[in-house]
Amino acid sequence: MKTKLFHVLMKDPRIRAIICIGLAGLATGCVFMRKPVTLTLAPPAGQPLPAGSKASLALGEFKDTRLVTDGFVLVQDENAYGPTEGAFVTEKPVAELFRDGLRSALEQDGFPITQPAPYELRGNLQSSGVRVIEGFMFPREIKFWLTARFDLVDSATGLTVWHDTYTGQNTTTNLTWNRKMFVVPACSNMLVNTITQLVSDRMFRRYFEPQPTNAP
Amino acid sequence: MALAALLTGCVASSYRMTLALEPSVQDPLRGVPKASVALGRFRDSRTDAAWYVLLYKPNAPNFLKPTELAWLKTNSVAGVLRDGAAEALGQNGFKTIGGPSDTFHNGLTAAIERSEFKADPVASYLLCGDIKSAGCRNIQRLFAHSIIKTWLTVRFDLVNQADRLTVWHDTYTGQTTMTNHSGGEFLAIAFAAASDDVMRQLVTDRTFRSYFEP
Repeated sequence: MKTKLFHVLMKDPRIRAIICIGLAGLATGCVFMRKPVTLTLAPPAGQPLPAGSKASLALGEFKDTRLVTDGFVLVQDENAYGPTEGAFVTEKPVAELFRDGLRSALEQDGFPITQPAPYELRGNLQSSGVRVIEGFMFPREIKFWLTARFDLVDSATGLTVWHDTYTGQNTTTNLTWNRKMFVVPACSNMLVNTITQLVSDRMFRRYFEPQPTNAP
Repeated sequence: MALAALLTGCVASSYRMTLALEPSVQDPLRGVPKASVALGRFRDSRTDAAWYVLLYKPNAPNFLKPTELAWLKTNSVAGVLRDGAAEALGQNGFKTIGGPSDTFHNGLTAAIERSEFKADPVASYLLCGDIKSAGCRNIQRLFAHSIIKTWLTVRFDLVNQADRLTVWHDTYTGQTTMTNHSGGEFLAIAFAAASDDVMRQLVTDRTFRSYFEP
């Protein structure tokens, strides 16, 4: 009876297609799926800017030119053949989340953010990736990295007065079957690490720090 | 070996071609340029490709690499890019000095000679280039053709001819995203599109333009 029912069902091309899609899904796992995650950046307070900064800045355009399918992709998934269309995706574009995190870090450290301002800070998330360090049987650790470029533009002339590129990293060893459990904090730390490098850069701070009163 | 060739067959195709870039950027200088620029040395410091390899499309990371490879028969990749830069600057009102890059016939010897390109002392500045990396990233899709993202990263240095010091430098990454991806024609189109993006970034860079705009 069961065999007869099976043969009847298999004759229907629609059922065959559904079974094939189901099997493909099972065989390829979740690497082709988009997995929504919630990410909030909370950069730690760094070295505050001395009072009376000599200039303010505005946050300009933040681009995302990473080689990913779209700007919502936090990490592109991969299988043995390389990257797939599957990804961990955020609810807002990653560049926007990054910009919000940077604003919070700058405000915490006393950088005056105004609109308009003598300087405009622009950003570009240039590349990101994941590197898996294999252990004896299972992955031992996973390194997440992001390269971002920042341009400080003189609003009066439109010329770039300073630019630099930083690579933020984070290594996680706390690997669990539920990948969201380690991907989200690791990516958050990676983005915060990039922001921290910018905010603590002495060349960047020089444009805002008040001049010492005993300067020759 | 025959069996291996049959099995691997089409996954390792090599395409020999010629390529001339036709930059599309249209952002001319306002007024007569206050300085001229000569196209100087363009290097190719990619670590994963020879100087004549335009682009290759990798197979899966654990298997054969590259899958498809396009290489130039009459010029180096740096030479093609140099000519493209000259074209892009020329069509946007920059006063460029210096002819097209030499074609090569004897491979490496000519490449070395070309790298020692003599600067034109008449020009105020010398624009040098360096190809840092280029490649294709294949993003697999479950029920459709893969997405191929091609990139080209080039560093440019603007050297003051008077004191031979770099007055400006920047690195740009040009990109293009395509889904139709097979054959040498695809690799040539992808490379041309990525380099067009690089030229657009160079020509529209306001700091770079400030050395020439009156």
